[in-house]
Amino acid sequence: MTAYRGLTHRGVEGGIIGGGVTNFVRLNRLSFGPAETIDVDDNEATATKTNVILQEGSSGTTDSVKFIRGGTDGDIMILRCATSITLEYSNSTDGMRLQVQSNYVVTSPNNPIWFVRSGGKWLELFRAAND
Amino acid sequence: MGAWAGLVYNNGLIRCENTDWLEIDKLNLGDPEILEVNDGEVATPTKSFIQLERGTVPNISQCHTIGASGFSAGTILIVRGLSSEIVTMLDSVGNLDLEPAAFGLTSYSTMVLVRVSGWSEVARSDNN
Repeated sequence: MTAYRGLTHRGVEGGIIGGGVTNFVRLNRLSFGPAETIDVDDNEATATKTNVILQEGSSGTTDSVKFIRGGTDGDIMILRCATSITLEYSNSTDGMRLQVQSNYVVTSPNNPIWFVRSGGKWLELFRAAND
Repeated sequence: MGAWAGLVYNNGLIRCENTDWLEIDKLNLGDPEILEVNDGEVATPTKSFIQLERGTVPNISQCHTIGASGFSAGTILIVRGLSSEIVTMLDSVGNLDLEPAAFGLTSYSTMVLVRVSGWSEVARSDNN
């Protein structure tokens, strides 16, 4: 690993870790880049980025997502559904913890929902119904 | 440019200086820092992701102040509860700017704040 005064560059994994002598990373603008589009199969999807679009896969239940695989504690994730699908976010005690533990149905990619991963669960931060 | 060009270190702060944007695939805030509520107050966090638990002195179930020493405007703070013992976040003059004025945090609930002159609420989510 190569250190840059508090930032650690993990060349193999491609990650950068702040901390150590660094209290803050300050930036003018933050971008998560283009969303990755991933399939929902059997109530599950596997994300590798913060910015994610979910689309229907081809196996089992594809219009309801209960578990987002991948990620580690501390991850921020923004989920949206693909155009022209109806997707239900399914609350669960060991998967996604949603507001008042209720499922949430979206029909438009304009309705994002944000999470932070903690204790192995995706905890909802907020949602926006923009349609 | 080299791999670190544009990142400038100064007194505990990494700043992106020669570029407007930092684009990343994944944002990770690490494990939350666990902080106690004592006498209605929480010490200054050292991380952007914190988890509140009741402390040991009186007034441990309500939080009206989160320390901010050294925090500059624009800093994001994500707060979550730690246990089933509720900690109620309360609006207060000069520190916590909440609307509605109270929000009970238990284990899975979250609140997002941004540093302005005090800590201003961005969002809250009762996940219990």
